[in-house]
Amino acid sequence: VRSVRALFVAYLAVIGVGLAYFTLIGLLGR
Amino acid sequence: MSGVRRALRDNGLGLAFGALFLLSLLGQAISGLFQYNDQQVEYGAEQVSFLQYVTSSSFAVDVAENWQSEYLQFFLYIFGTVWLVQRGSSESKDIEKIGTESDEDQLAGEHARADSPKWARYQDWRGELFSRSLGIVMGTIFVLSWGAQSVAGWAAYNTEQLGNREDPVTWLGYLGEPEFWNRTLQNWQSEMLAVGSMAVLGIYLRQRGSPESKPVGAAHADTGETG
Repeated sequence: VRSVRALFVAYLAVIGVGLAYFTLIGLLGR
Repeated sequence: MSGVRRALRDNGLGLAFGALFLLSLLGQAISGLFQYNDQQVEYGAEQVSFLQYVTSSSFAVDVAENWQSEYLQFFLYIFGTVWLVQRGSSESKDIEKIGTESDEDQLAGEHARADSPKWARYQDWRGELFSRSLGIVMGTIFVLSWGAQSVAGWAAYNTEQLGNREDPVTWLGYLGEPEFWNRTLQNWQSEMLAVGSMAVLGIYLRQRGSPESKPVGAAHADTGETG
């Protein structure tokens, strides 16, 4: 059950970091 | 079975697709770099390194535009299947169950069981929020990734404009550019076709052992029965 929760958190983390990263790149105008 | 092996088996679907995602993203980054540098040579501009490419708006917009369409697809599917049904489809619920269903059907409120999530029991805003949390999160990821596509696409577009000695546009101006809508809609069209196909092809076709399919021997007219 712990591994299932870790996977859930990992998915949300990857999505969240990805969204922040791509938005930041755009805002910085790179 | 050891703890690690059990964890791998129990999470096969999530781990396999997570790994495929990372491999595909790496492949996209590598092939995108080569394509980008080919263009740079064509324009007589300097080539970029892998690190420069994966931190460029050109890479960011390519990833984000695909993300937004996938999350739009699942968001629409999650909400759409509450209110729309498809006779004969394994992806649809029973024709009579259109709508958000009763608390009894949904094991919500006073019909929650001992092992139900705590928030399923609440009959206030927490229950309302939890009972829509999947759609809300998928819809939020869609909106944020579409936003990311718009700002990264805007930056990439302006880089190109400046390279061609043309004027940069504002963010709102970019939202009116055909490029933004072409990037967006070329992804949407394929997602809508794929989702429709999932709903319709499963009426007459089967995949033994897949929960996305009806059981092999289920009647074509059976709706909402998963194997």
